[in-house]
Amino acid sequence: MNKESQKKSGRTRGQFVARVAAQLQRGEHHRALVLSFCGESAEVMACAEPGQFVQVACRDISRPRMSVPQLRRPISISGVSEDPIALGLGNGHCRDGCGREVMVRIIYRVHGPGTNWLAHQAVGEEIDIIGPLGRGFNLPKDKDTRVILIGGGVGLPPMFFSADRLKRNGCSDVLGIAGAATRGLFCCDLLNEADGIEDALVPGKYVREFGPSNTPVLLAADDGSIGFKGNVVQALDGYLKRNEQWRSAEVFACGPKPMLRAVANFCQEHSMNCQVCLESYMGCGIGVCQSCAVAMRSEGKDRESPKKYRLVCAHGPVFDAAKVDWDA
Amino acid sequence: MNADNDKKQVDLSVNIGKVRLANPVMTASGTCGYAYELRDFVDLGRLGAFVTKSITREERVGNAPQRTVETASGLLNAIGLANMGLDKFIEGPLALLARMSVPVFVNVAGKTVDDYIAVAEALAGRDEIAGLEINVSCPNVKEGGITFGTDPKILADLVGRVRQVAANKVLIAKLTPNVTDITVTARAAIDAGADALSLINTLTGMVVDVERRRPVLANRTGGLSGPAIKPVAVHMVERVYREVAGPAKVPIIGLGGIACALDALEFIIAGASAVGVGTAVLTNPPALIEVIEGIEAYLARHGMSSVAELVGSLQ
Ligand SMILES: Cc1cc2nc3c(=O)[nH]c(=O)nc-3n(C[C@H](O)[C@H](O)[C@H](O)COP(=O)(O)OP(=O)(O)OC[C@H]3O[C@@H](n4cnc5c(N)ncnc54)[C@H](O)[C@@H]3O)c2cc1C
Ligand SMILES: Cc1cc2nc3c(=O)[nH]c(=O)nc-3n(C[C@H](O)[C@H](O)[C@H](O)COP(=O)(O)O)c2cc1C
Ligand code: FES
Repeated sequence: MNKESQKKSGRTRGQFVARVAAQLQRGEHHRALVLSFCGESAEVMACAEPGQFVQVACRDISRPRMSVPQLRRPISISGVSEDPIALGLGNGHCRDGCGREVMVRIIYRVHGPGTNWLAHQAVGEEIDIIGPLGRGFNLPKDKDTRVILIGGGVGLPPMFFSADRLKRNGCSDVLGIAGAATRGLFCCDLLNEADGIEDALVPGKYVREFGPSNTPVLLAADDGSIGFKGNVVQALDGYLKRNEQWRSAEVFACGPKPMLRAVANFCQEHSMNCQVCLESYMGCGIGVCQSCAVAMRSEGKDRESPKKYRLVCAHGPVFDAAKVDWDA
Repeated sequence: MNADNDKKQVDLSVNIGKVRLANPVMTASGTCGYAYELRDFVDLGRLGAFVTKSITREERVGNAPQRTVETASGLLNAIGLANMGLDKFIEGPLALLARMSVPVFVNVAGKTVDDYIAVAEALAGRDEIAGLEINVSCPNVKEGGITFGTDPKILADLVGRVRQVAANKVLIAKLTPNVTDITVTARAAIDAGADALSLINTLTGMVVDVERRRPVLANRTGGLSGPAIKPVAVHMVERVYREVAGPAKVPIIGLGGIACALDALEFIIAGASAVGVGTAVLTNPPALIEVIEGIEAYLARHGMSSVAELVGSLQ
């Protein structure tokens, strides 16, 4: 289905006007924005892959002289579906006379000028979007491969989308690990079951966004305010000690750089494959400005050889963790 | 529909040296890559001309990140001229650029005069390109760059020598605003044989992260672009047009903060024959087309038959 719709429209990305279908509070500081795409944009968005992102114009770009903020803001895609229920909405959100409608969810932390503008966009309002952009996670071809999805802070959203797609591909052994500093900083809807966790290293149905894919999850809060007390790497370590069969799992991770570095180190020590979804400061998001470079490990033995940079927006945002120069 | 009728009467074409552009709007170097990256977003075949990212003799990996930061109505960047180098450019992007229907200018940068000459020589024989824009003004590269554009003697020497090796190509000198008197360097470039001037490149600036007490950009300083620099750029175009380029009949390509047709019109009225759109494309690639259409509509609305009538018409 994917390939077909891509063929029809002939392109894999574009600049589109989306309509706000829903704007929901998630945790204390986050919002989930569900965007509705119609026509060609729906075809293109339907082909988005987990790990890819959109560039959101956080202003009315038809009025360039009102130009704050200038740059678009990159936000990961956290879900794509034609079924609003799969994105946590009711059926009433469908648009009339739209033809094929595809909904895209993004989850963001309300932070500075861009995300504050976004938070003020009400249902029905139009937002200019470029996407889907970048290269997403390499999903395992073998259905029996176990996959562990690790999301820290606002790195969790692409994991919801990964879980959906893994399920669609028939992968059934998928575990989520969601980390945050404290309970209020989880960028998801924590279900009531999360309040009565007895054994923090036994995964459960604690997160609404993991519901459609039926993905069990471990919660890890640095301050122990919910779930496991500690960080995601400690939770992963604890889980693997009890569940040796998961040591062959592939790891997908997204979150703050110190967390990703720790996950990458852990995976290297334990010979686990790990893909990380990186952030960097973006100018364009489409590979023209060279703003978003990240350093990669130089392959040559020559220590003096110049750094090798890759573009997060075009070559990433997902990279093999073993290739990233974490010390740069 | 009326607008369509009006359109036919307006002549948007301009000459840059011996190259005729269908309209005065071009890309700004470094903000539109090598064209193919933008193909999903804008029809570049509608432009007056395309200007590439700076090309250097050898590949350059660029500066350490963070390379860019947004400022109030502006963008500070220190990319460090990251580019694949001359050979790979000729093998790859140039072949794609050759298929473009509009004139292509390759922006050339270097650390030494020999670097510029090597690139200019290699490109002078390529029919795919209409001309060279020499970037004497990139403020990011510590090794040099900046000195070419600020010292009139060094600038004249560079322009003159590139002129010799690329005699058949249109030569544009892209000037830096980081000088005391832009008319001095403008005159030096014209006297040395430049067919046109581009102004302005970015203004050197710094943003400080007060928590870390460090510059935000790893390079410490960067070049400021976007709407924040537009009044500076318009003024420089106006002065250079009035004092140097106008009398010498050398066209100016005005750029710096253009995001819409109104912005471009300011430059044209101040004396620019053509305009470049840079930072605005990063956010909104179709801005390039909106500028062309807006200029056309403006001319029609004011009963003018050609854009040439508007150039330097500042009262
Ligand atoms: C590939 C990618 C995916 C992302 N996914 C998400 C997501 O799913 N949810 C989410 O909440 N956030 C995500 N982010 C981060 C998000 O882009 C920033 O939170 C957002 O730009 C903040 O903008 P602001 O105007 O609200 O805040 P500002 O005060 O302008 O910026 C706050 C911080 O956000 C970052 N930032 C600002 N502008 C940019 C830019 N142009 N490019 C990159 N970073 C920038 C900087 O680190 C800055 O210090 C992602 C970033 C990248 C690169
Ligand atoms: C990200 C970025 C990269 C740039 N790279 C180059 C370059 O390689 N060579 C060059 O001559 N100018 C470069 N410039 C300068 C622009 O071409 C232009 O002169 C300047 O940005 C002002 O125009 P603007 O405000 O429309 O962007 C760059 C500007 C930006 C923002
Ligand atoms: S953000 Fe412009 S190249 Fe990646």
